[in-house]
Amino acid sequence: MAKPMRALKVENLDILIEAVSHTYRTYGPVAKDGEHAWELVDPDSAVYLGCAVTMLPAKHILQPVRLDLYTFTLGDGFQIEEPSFDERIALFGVSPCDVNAILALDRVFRGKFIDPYYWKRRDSALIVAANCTEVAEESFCTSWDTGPELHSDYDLLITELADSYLLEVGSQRGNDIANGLNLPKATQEDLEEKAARLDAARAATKKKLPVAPDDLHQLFKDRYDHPIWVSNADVCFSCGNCTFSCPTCFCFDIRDEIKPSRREGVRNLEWDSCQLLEFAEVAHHANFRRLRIDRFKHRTIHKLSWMKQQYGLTGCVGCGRCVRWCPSWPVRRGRITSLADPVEIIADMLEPPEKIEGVERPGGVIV
Amino acid sequence: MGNPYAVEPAVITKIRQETNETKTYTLEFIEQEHTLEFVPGQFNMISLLGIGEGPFSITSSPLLKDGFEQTIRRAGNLTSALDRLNPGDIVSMRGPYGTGWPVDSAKGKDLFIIAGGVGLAPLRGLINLIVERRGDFGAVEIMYGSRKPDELVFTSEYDAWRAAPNISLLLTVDEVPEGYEWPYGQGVVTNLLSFSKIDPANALAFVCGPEIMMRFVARSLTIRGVAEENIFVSLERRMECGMAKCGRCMLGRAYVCTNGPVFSYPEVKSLPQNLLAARF
Repeated sequence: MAKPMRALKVENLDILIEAVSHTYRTYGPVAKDGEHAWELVDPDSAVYLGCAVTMLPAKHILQPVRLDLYTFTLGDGFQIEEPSFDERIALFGVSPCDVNAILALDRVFRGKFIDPYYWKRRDSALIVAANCTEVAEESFCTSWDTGPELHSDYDLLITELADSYLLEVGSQRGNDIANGLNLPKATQEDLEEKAARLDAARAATKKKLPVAPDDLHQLFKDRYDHPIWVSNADVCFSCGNCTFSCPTCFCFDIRDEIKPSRREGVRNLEWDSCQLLEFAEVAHHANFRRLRIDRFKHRTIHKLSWMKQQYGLTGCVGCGRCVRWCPSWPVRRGRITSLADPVEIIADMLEPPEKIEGVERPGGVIV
Repeated sequence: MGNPYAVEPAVITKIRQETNETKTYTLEFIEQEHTLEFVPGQFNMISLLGIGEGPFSITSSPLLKDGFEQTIRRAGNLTSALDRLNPGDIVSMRGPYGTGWPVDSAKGKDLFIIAGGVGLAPLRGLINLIVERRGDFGAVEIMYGSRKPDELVFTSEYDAWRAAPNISLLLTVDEVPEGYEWPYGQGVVTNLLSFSKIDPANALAFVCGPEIMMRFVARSLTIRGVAEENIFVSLERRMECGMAKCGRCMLGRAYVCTNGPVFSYPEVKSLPQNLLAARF
């Protein structure tokens, strides 16, 4: 656990947002259409520091839904030109689970090939994290230890107290912001209040993985052919919501657009989803994941086990977005549940395979 | 920091028609200094800006001077556009990517090279390397099957392969059109294994073709006594980046683009959602 450089106290968020947005293009979760969404914020914005379960996590700021890789000009050969990027981004109010998700994305976009588009944004980004003093009912961060408390990897960390905010400084960049504000030091009582509030949030988190994270690999290996996969895949709409809303999902498409002149165009990158039928399709409509059950299994096991094997970090941080945004809600174990809910899927896996009924499909295999 | 998505221009210097649908393109980077360092079995991302980009096996031997070759079958948008190009035209390129055939561990060993259809493409550079460096490898048995006689690729090189010492080339097709002169076998490629003379215990096998074909070839080789870890296969998957980022080619915990496309048989058997998997 990294120790904060300094712990301070701030009376209201406005002055902090003002200080941050002076240097950084600042995004934060704000109320929108009855939900919360990551938008550009200013000192007047009511940034929501609760457990927002926004439809999109902050990943779309680090890896835009669509971004230009380069423009090209065709002629005698071709020229390509990369877009410039010289912004500095601040993510204001990132929850601990989402910071952990960003750490997973960092590993995806590092490796043998370093993705310059992601890293230009990521390197510029000031992470103003916010501990969760309440945890949404869909969330199960405590099972992964990805929340409600963040221990490291922030520039600034906010914890809401009864009448003010605790502000912990985790980096030089964070310190530069805090220095300009002339804030009083936090007291021992403030730190104790933080600990008590986060303990209460942990205790109030009822949703839990039914097995230890380390046992998931073996569970999915043993139950790869469990009949529940069939009945689950049968009620999956294959819409991709679980992946688009997932803070660790990163898959994309690369496509070209060309102007009518056929001399100029742009090659761009756009989010894609392994849940969509065309995702693994090749020429002649051959498709390596034509069956819905294969796509359903791929997303589930990748999040819960394979991503850990690939990158050493969990691909599920327990944020609860797939739970909230999945449109299919079958009855399981006598309750209406979200189909995409990892906790429910793991509970499915634990059911004795011979007890599962209703997997006959007179209509044939669903693609 | 270099941009690994950026493409470079390469000029087509020669085109050879292999079959009705397939051509072999000889390419050179326009930048004089740049040559392609690769291992047979690796692939390049080739694109026509404005149309699209796709992964294609490099089909020449690394010893080829003056550029490198790519063999491409006309199938979708991009490959149909590539099919319309002429010598002198320019494509964009980045690569090479992926794992190649384990050439070094093949030295001194007998080799099975077994291919189906256009699956001979990623193996052709290896075969030509063996022909040029004949002393480095043991006996080589090439077994190649295609649907029809006129779908065989690299036919103009068969005489040279056969003329090299201790290389045999066995051919088979699924169907022979009426009136067609076909002096070789008919049936699935695994049939050709019954003509094999090399000692399976000292042999490596390199296999590429449709997954269902590789599934049965790998099983037949195992039954003959080739150790599973000595069998290598090359998988095909959709790819957008070639760099383990876009997620398209993911197969369980593996990326076909960087952990493959050449995998050992035990490795691919342990992965889900492919026809060679122990279960799928």
